[in-house]
Amino acid sequence: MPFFRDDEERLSARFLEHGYVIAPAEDRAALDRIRDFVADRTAAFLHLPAPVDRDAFLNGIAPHVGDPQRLNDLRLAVIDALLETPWFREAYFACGRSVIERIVGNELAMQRSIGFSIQLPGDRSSTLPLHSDAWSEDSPFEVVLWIPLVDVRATKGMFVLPRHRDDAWRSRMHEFAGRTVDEFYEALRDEVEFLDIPYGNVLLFTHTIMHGNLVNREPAARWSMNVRFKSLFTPYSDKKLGDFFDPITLRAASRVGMHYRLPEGFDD
Amino acid sequence: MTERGYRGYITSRPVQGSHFPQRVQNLVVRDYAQRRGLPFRLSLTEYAMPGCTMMLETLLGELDQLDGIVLFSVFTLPERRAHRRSIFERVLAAGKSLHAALENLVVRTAEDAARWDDLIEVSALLPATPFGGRYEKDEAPLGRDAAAMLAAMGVSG
Repeated sequence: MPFFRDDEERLSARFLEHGYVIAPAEDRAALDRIRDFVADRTAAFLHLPAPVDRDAFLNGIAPHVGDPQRLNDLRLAVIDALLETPWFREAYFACGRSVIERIVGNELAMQRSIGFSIQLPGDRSSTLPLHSDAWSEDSPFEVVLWIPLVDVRATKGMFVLPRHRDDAWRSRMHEFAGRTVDEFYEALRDEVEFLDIPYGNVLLFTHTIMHGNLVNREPAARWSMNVRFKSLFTPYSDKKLGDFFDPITLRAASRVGMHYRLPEGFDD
Repeated sequence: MTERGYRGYITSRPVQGSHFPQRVQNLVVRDYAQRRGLPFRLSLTEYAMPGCTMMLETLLGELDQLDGIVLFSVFTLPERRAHRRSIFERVLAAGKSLHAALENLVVRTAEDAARWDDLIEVSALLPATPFGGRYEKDEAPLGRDAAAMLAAMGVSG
């Protein structure tokens, strides 16, 4: 890769080997703004006073939430509020822009909505079994920018099967035909990594690698967001441009090319 | 909001290569209107002839009696950019809105219209990009020419 800078080569090599990279949020002010907005909206939804220490508030939310239905209502209310906020998507992108551009490219499509997870300690309703998004509606050309709003570690976060191991297990998956996902997970569980991601960092990963989460056995709640990005002109699967993605950094040369027409009016 | 309401616009032609039964298109349009609280009136169905926009023209001619139009999809608009732009201009000049139910998008400003234009233009270009812009979940996900393409790009399969 002689045309890449050293930092690009190193980052690419890490991504290719592990299937993910963790990096400091590029725009920390943008991340803090999102985190504060989420905390304040959560307090309003739960009829609590606006928090002073938002980190402590989010980590300790469990006693205020109650049953899984209310938790889901809260989650949906926060998603709606974020998506109605005009600065949100730009702020989200700003948190990981240079990493995305080095891994994916600089002419990008961004998911229009957002994935948002609140995982309370001991809550079994929010677990996500082992999976790869490429096994459902997603194109393997997509990446996920996953951003925690609190420190995450162990079962408070997510697990991934690093790419070099994912290749091997994917080729063996057929051996588990007729069995359950849990059995498959049990077979490979010693090879998954639970990611430690302190608040202020972002995770960029290819959702082609197997990943998921378990019941949160840590004492505090996990809050995280995820949004998919892809190179604008790479193949799409069933999550298409328009209903799922939109172009965010269409470059000038592409605009020129798209709209260029050869001179007309010449007849044989 | 007045009570003139919104009319739907569905099509008899494929949308981005997929056929959607008109009953399904109507469900999507009605559901969109309901979720947005838009008073909904009947849909008109565009004719099957390629390039024909007579029904859309009919709806545009009714704009003074409507609050707006709910398209089944952004991609039911004409392929020709100048034609699309004239439609956006007519809707905006009338102070009305244009909605796309499938994509959950709305045009209320010229900036919104420009975003729709980007979306349509880029999507139209995708079949001409490497691998045809489509990842199929079958035995040849990147198409039959994938191996040659990857070799040309210096990427080992």
